[in-house]
Amino acid sequence: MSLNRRKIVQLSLSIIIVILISNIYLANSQLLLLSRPIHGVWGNIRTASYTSMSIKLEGLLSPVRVYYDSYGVPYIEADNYRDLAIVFGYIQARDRLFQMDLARRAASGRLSEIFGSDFIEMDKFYRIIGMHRTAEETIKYLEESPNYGFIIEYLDAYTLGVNKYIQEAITNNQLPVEYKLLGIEPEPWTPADSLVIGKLVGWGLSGGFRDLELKSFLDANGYEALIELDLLNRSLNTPILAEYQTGQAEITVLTSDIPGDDTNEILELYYEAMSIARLLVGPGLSNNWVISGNLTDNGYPILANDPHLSLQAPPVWYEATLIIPGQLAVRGVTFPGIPFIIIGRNQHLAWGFTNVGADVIDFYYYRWEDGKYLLIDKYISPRSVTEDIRVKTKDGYDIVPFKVNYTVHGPLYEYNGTRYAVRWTGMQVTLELLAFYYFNKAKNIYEFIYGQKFFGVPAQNAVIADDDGNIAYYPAGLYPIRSVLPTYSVSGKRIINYGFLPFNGSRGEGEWMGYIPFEDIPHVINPEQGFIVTANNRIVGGDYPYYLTWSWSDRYRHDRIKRLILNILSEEGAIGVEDIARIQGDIHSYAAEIILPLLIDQVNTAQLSSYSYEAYNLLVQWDYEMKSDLVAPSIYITWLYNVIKSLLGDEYEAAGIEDVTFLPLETLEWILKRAAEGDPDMHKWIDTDLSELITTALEDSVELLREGYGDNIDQWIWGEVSKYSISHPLGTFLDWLNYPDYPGQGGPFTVNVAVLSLTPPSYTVSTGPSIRFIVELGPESTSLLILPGGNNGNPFSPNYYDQLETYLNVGYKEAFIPGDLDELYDVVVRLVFYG
Amino acid sequence: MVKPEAIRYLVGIIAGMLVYIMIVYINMAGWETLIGSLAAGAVASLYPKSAKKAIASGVASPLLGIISIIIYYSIINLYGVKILFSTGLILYIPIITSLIFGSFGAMVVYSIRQFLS
Repeated sequence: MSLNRRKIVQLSLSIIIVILISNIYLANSQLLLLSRPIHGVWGNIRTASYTSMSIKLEGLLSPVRVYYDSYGVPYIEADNYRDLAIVFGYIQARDRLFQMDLARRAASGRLSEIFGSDFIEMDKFYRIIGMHRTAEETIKYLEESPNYGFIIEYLDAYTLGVNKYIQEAITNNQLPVEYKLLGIEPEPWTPADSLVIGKLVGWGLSGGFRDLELKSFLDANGYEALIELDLLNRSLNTPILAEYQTGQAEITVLTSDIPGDDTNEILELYYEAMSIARLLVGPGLSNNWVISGNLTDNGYPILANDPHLSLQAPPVWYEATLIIPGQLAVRGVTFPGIPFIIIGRNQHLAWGFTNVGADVIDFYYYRWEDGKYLLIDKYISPRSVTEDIRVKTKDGYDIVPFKVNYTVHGPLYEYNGTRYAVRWTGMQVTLELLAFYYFNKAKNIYEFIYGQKFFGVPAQNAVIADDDGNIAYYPAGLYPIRSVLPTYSVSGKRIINYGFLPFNGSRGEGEWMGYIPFEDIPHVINPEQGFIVTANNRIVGGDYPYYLTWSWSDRYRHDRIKRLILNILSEEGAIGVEDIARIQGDIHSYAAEIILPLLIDQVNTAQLSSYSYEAYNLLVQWDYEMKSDLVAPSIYITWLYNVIKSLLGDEYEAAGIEDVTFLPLETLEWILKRAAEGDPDMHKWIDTDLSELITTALEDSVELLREGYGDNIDQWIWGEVSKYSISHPLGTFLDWLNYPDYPGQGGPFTVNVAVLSLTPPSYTVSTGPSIRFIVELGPESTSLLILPGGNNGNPFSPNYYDQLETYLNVGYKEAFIPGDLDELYDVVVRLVFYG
Repeated sequence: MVKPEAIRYLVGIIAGMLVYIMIVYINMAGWETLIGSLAAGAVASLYPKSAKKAIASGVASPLLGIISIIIYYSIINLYGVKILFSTGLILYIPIITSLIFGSFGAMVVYSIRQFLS
């Protein structure tokens, strides 16, 4: 080959190789975007580093100052509500945009647009529930209302701020890493998006398809369970208010047949769809309590709250301080996307919530003929709404039209010919945003309670304390009153279906005739006892005239907190903030204190292997502390799980119920106690000899732990067997987005709760205190707050999980409200926004 | 004594690095890494007299550019850079892409130089 030809070949080859590889590279748009060292994911290292500066934000009437402390908590000081809302929107989006976006998409049934067809069934579910439609209706209602224009203005201003950030982030390539990784951009925010996020939280805390789950359980196992397992009376549960009687419920009862349509397949779909709500919210258990100044060290009330929601990266809550000098100074947490503080304190009072768990979702079935449903005496065609679901494909989007049918009661959930209309209190215009507005600016408990009149969904146990020394408990919310209730004959007794089972809509059963009047909702102001504790347990005893729910959470956390408060008061005479912090961190299992002796009594030690005997002895000697360095909690939880599986596993399976904790732990306690007393009704639930069942369950548990953690029993410590493994929604694919793992402590029924994903012999803590919050009112006021992670959603930010270790050690940081921003001593970034 | 030839290499590599940084700083909807690395490699390979040295210079200049960017990020957010080093592919993709295209830029320019000589 001549020299020239060789040169030509060499040059041509070089160019061809470059073009070929460049083409492969350019064809992969994701690779193209990920390879950018300045404008790609790497660039978010820069955006995570906030520096003091002035930022132009069109629309502001006056300059707004935003100071960030070292925990990434913003303090926003504006001259008026409009400016405050604009900047709060901008700041929230800057810190948590992807989380806001994901929540609004999930609630509106629009996840397939970014994740593809795997999410289509989930999207259909949320299209049926129709939170986005209700949110739009609420906006329209607020716009047309002569009284609530200021809320719409505030919401519009917040939306403006969010959109300013979105626009800026797109222009400057500063979108959160999740967008860069997924190769997508956010759409503009709308006022309805903020409402739809509130609806999603409300839905997640409203109990879901519990009526259908119960029906399925009873269909498979007999309606006698309602009586035999004490499901309706829940006599072991402790009421928050020991004595309470008010109001008069008027009901009509009619004899009815037990509802017939099979629900198993519907439940399967439901569980899949609810996974996103569970991911965002969790089961919604919580503790709060308030103590009068008569019982505290400094003579002023103390309030504590730890709402138990899903633990995730970033946390479900966002912390902020909002200040309008002379008008507003409030600090606390909100769900990203919502423009007010939801749990927190201002200069005059503090408040906290736990979920009531009221039965606010009903199901209706009908007689159908030619596509029409029977309503009393005539057949009616369902009304329908058709929406297009955009489903992401390789080349763009497919459009999937989806029709939602409605009866007079609500949207129809349909599968294979089984149809139920769903009615939920959240499917109508509700004004929680207005309630938050009043909470944030309330000057005493009475102004707060006035705001609660606007609070609809989900009903919340509010505890409130003000610096005048008042304390109060008011579980405000919408509680439906049903008329024309069906009665069933069960074991010779009449059972009235108050709303815990589906209604025959064709017969006019279960129509909602209104809601429990606000004044009739059980409440107390300045109780004689001097304190109020709530932990999702029942509100009142059986003499209260209205039906609230049957599925109260177990009493164990409530009773433990109450016992600890009474112990401290009897030993020390008064209670202080440090005592309250100790209670929030308590990992003594009161449930184990009750259940474990019942189990131990039944063990036939002669049948135990040497390993099981050693495990048994550890349990006998255990002090019920769920400490991470102890072995006993691992054996106890695994044993408890196996006992429940052995007792009720077949019953759950026959009913298509996935969650083995569907029935409360008090049901197990009921069965064990009754069985020990020789109650013949319990034979049906215990297929075999109880002692044999419990002994075998212990043997199986020990085997499971041996398989998982080896023969050395000392290695089965709770901190190894259970883990805090807090993950990001995209963390399955990108581990670096997840928080680091930490050893577990506490358990599903301890005050410092650790709700576990039950995958023995290892357990992941999926839900826990989503904040820990303590306020001592008075002139020397103390506020403490901690998040299970960090306030910033950018994984490159030092505030991504800077609070996590402190949280796990039950430590706190101060949550101080400055009278003026210049009083702040921990400022790391100063921003000034101007118009 | 530093050889003048080494200084010429160094000048070429640094010039390439500066070209790389300037181009990747411009938002070109994802094309900037490709163009920046090709240009950096091309500039760095203007002097070297062998193919190996040209490609080595073409790789070195975007590498220095990347290192400079990481140093800059470390100054403003050291924590963020620590996290970056735990991200696996997210860390490697910009580096590997830049190095590959830097070497291509050098390869093409060196071939053109050979062709013209």
